[in-house]
This record gives sequence, structure tokens and C-alpha cells, in this order.
Amino acid sequence: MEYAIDVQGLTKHYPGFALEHVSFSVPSGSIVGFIGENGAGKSTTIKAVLDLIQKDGGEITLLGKKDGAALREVKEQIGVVFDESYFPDNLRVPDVDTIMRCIFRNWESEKFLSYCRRFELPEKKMVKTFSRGMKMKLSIAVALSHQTKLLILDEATSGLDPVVRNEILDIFQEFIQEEDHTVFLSSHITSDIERIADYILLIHKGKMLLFEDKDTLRYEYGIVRCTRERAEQIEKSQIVGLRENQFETEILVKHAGKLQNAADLVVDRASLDDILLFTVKKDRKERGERG
Amino acid sequence: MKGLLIKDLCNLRQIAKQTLIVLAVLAAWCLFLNNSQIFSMMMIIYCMMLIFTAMSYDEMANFDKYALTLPVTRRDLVKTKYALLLILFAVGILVGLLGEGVFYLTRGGGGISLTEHAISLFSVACLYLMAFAVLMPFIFRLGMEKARLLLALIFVIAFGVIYGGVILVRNMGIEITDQLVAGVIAAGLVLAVAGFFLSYLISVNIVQKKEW
Repeated sequence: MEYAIDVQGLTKHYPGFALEHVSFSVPSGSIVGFIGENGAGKSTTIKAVLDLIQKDGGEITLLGKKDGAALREVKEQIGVVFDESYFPDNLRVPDVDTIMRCIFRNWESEKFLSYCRRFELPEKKMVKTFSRGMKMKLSIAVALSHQTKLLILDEATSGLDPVVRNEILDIFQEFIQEEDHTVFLSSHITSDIERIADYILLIHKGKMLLFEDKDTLRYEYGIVRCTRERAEQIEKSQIVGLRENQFETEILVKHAGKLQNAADLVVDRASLDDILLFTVKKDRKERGERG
Repeated sequence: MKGLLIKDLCNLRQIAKQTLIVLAVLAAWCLFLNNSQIFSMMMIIYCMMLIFTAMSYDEMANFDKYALTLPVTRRDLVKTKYALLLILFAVGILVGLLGEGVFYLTRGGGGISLTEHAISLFSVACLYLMAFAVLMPFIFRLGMEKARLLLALIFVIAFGVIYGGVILVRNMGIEITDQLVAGVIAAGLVLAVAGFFLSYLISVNIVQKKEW
């Protein structure tokens, strides 16, 4: 299998926070959703992948090239969208077109302008008059208009209203129709990830907790509701995390199908939110933290 | 680099009107004072200070972080700003010379030849260039707002050193001849060029280590 992004043993230390030996591989032609709480290390990981910070250890390969983010030929094929637009306020759409034509060897002016028309971005107005949604659409239009093979999106849909988010997610799905196109999307909006991702990568406090394909998560994981006594009879290896209240015990289990036929158990499908909450809670418990 | 330069020029386009007003007010003031040198010296420093505007726009938008995700290297970021500074410097000198020329033709040189005007303009220009060469690495290291405060300090120190040098030469009884002045200007020019290049290398080094 070819990987668009391959991260092995990524380590980065800051006072009070560290990425600890993060490893994952993003298969070419897939959408990988990168989830975690605020401050879990999503942006730090993405910055390391993009060579915006210096890593303390580990290896990063982008589109088959080691430390690819430092290479022009690799960056020609990568489109990046952050949680904000970083275009100076005084630029207009035609300015952005001119600038990018000089920066990218494979700049597709027609495609860019057609995206701008589709997004209804006014040509004559300056970026400073754009709404947040319009600014994000401008960034996305740029990211998609240079024969892009890999899209890296850091919280690109955060802070946008559901209509704009939906529109943007549709575009990512259009982009992925080409088999060598890949999307790596970080977000704490799990519904977005749930909608479009093929794989889910979960990070918590700088450690990777889970990397699974979405179908496995959907069909293998389940939420079991039962009494505390009954919960104790469930195989420990199946339990990913549990939550107790005075009436019942909720358990996130792997291989939920095995418990489907038990008469005294209620097994529901686990949402991505459930998986995130239970996994993070278990990790906190193992670390001896509260909450 | 061309794309980044165009982006800076697009940004500076916004203050074109303001620049023309400054130019007109400055010209009127210098006509009133009957002093063309003030015009040229102020014009050079004004044009060079436009680099602050360009870098402030980038800083406000956090553009450098985004630029590094494009096929742009850290060295390109620095190179563009130094190239822009040189362009602004050249434009400043050109407008300054033009102003001096027009003034000379319409009002006469007041006993000073056009060549002398040009020499004094170039020597001040070298001083400005050295001051900005010192300042640029601070801008890349500390950011625009903090570094801006250093500019005044750098000029005070630079003028202090020159004034101190002149006093020292006089006290030592060395006669200030045309040759000595020419030698000092030539040395200043060499120092300005070398300082500018050294400043570029230091800035590249700072940006190579910078994290976004």
C-alpha cells in the first residue's frame, strides 16, 4: 500500500506538552480524520508534518519523499488549509491568482477562478471584507488549484456554519474521486469526520490512542448498557472504556457482535463521539488524572 | 520569490495615495525652507520604512506560516524582504535625486554643485542602509512591533558614532580634506554593502530556526 503521509516515532517537546512517538500512515486515495480534544496535539502534529516546527525525533515521509515538506517538488502537490485564512487583508481574488501563478509551477488559473465563482467570492472586494466562511473558501480554492494530490486541513471547518461546512465537505469528497488524491483532515467536529473519513486517527495528550478504518469502528465497536454486576462478566479484553452512574454502566466494547445475542445486554452502535469520549477517559484513568 | 514580491507590492498599493500626499507635503515644505537635501533624505527614509508596512501586513495575517506550506523556502521569505528593501531604497534614491535635480534647475544649488548634492545623498543613503541592515534581523527575530522601537535607537547610535568620529578626527588635528571625505564615503559604501549581506545571512539563520 502506498502512503501519502507516513509518520514514524514523531516526538516534539514543549514545556508542559509533548508529542510522544506518534506513528501513523495515511494511505493514498483515502480521507483520514484526525480527532482529539483541543490541545491534544493535532495542530502540532500537522505543523511537524509541514515542517513548520522542528521535530525532536522521528521520521516523516510525504508523498514518498523523506522530509517532503522541505522540498519544493513535494509542496507543489500539497494543498494546505488552516483554521484561518492567512491572506493579507488588502488582496483581491485576481491578486491571489497572480501571486499563486508565480509561486506554483502547475497553477490552474481557470480552475481557481471557477472555484471562486462557484463559492461566490467577489472579485473586486478585498479579503478584509470577506466573511470567515468566504476566507476559508478562498483558502480551499487555492489549495485545490495546483494539481493537488494531498490536502492537509487543520480545523478547516471549525467556526463555520453547518451550510458552509456541508458545502466544503462535498468538495473534499469530489476531490477524493481521483484515486491518487488524499485528504488528511483534523477537526474536533466529529460529525464532519464521521461523514467523510475512511480512517480515524485519535490523539490525546500528545499520544496516539487509535487508528482504525471507519467501518471497523462502526461495526466492531458498540456501547453496552447493563448493571455493574453484569458488566463485570464481560471479557476485559473487549472493554475499551466504561462510564458508570447510579442506574447503569455504559461500556464501549470491541467486537460488539459477540454480545449482540445476550438477552440481558443492550448493545447500541457507538458514535465517533462515544469512541472519543470513552477512549480519552480510559487514557486519563490510566494516567491517574481526574475527569 | 516573484510571487511573494508581487504580494508585497499588492499590499503597498494600498498606501500609494498616502505616499503621494507625503511626497507633495514634503516637497512643499522643502521649497518653503529652500532646502532640497531634506527632501531627498526624507524621501529615502520614507520609502525604506515602507518595508515595515509590508512586514506588518504579513505579520498581522500570519502569512509566513502559510507561505511555507507553498513551494516557498524559508530562505525565499528572507530574500524577498531584502529584495523589497533594496527596491524601496532604489526608488527612494531615484525620487530624491529627481527632487534635488528639479530643485537645482529651478532654484539653483545655493553654491553647492549637483555632484556634491549627489555625494551627500549617497552617504546618507549608505547610513540608512546600514541602519536597516542592523534592524532587519531584529524584525525577523522579535517581530515588527518590538523591532520598530529599535530603529530610533539604531539611528541615535549611528549618528553618535559618526559625530564622535568627526570630533575625534578634529581633536586629533587631522585635516578633513576632500580625499578623506571621499575615503570615508567609499569605506561607508563598502561597509553598507558588506553589512547588508551579513544582515541577510543572519536573518536567514534566524528564520531557518524559527517555528510557526
